[in-house]
Amino acid sequence: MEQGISLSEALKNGLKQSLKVIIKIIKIMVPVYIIAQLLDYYEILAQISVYLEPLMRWFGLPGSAAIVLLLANGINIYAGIGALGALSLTSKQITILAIMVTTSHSLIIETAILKTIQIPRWFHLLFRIGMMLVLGFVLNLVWRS
Amino acid sequence: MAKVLTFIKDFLLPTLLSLGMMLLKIIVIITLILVTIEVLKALKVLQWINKKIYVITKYLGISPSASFPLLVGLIIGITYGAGVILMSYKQQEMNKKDVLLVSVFLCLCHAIVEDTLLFAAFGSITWVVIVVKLVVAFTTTMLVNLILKLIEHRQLAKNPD
Repeated sequence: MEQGISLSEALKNGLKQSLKVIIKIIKIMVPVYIIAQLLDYYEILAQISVYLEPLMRWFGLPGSAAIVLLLANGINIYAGIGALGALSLTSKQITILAIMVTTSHSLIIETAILKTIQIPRWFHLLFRIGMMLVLGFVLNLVWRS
Repeated sequence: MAKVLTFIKDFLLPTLLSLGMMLLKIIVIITLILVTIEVLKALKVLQWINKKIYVITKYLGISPSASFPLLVGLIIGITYGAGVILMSYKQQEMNKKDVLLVSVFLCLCHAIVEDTLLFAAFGSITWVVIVVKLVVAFTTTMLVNLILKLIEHRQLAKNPD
């Protein structure tokens, strides 16, 4: 392993490494972020959530909570939480929603990020969305309030 | 013309502003983390932390040097975690199996401090969120490790050389 590396050398190494990672992340994030924002601006995301009402019953959540899942998954966790303020949910519902959202969110960006460490897109998407749905369903089933 | 102006005012400016803020935040955090890691490495603190964490993370089937990227991702987030994973992988401190197992864990459980606190502000039960997420991430990663081992054994049985 590296022996006797001085602190200033470590600092230089760290800055060099950061620059590389930052350039990589900017290349991915800038186009993706703008596209996701466009989808939100033209209300395409809002239109899709109407169709998700029946699905949300499986998790003990109202149909409107689909907006949180959609925004969190389509844009990021902050977008999802922004919509959360408009809903009135019980603490059980918010806890289930929190576990679902923190399990699967920012899919466009995080799929691209995980692609940089060679995690296939299809695997990441299936795994995240699948685990989110299973967790929501099981928690609602097990949790008797 | 008016349409273009409203587009710029309602979409372009706020989007670019929030994008800039996000990138600024990411740049600061990534630089802080990667520099801190290099300094910790130089001071050999990393090996010490790894050994301590490894008592728990060895059950996931990852090598000792993979536990730090796991810790970074778990606490700070997947973007930063992936950056550290990429760096460790390039420096050959992690193998492919480590990358997969750490990724599976981090997919299910990352940025646990920030994300959990955001939802707590809206009335979620914090300990339930944290316990459920950690238990699910641990068991799923152990399961994936078990499956990988079975595949390895089967391939060894087929080509015994």
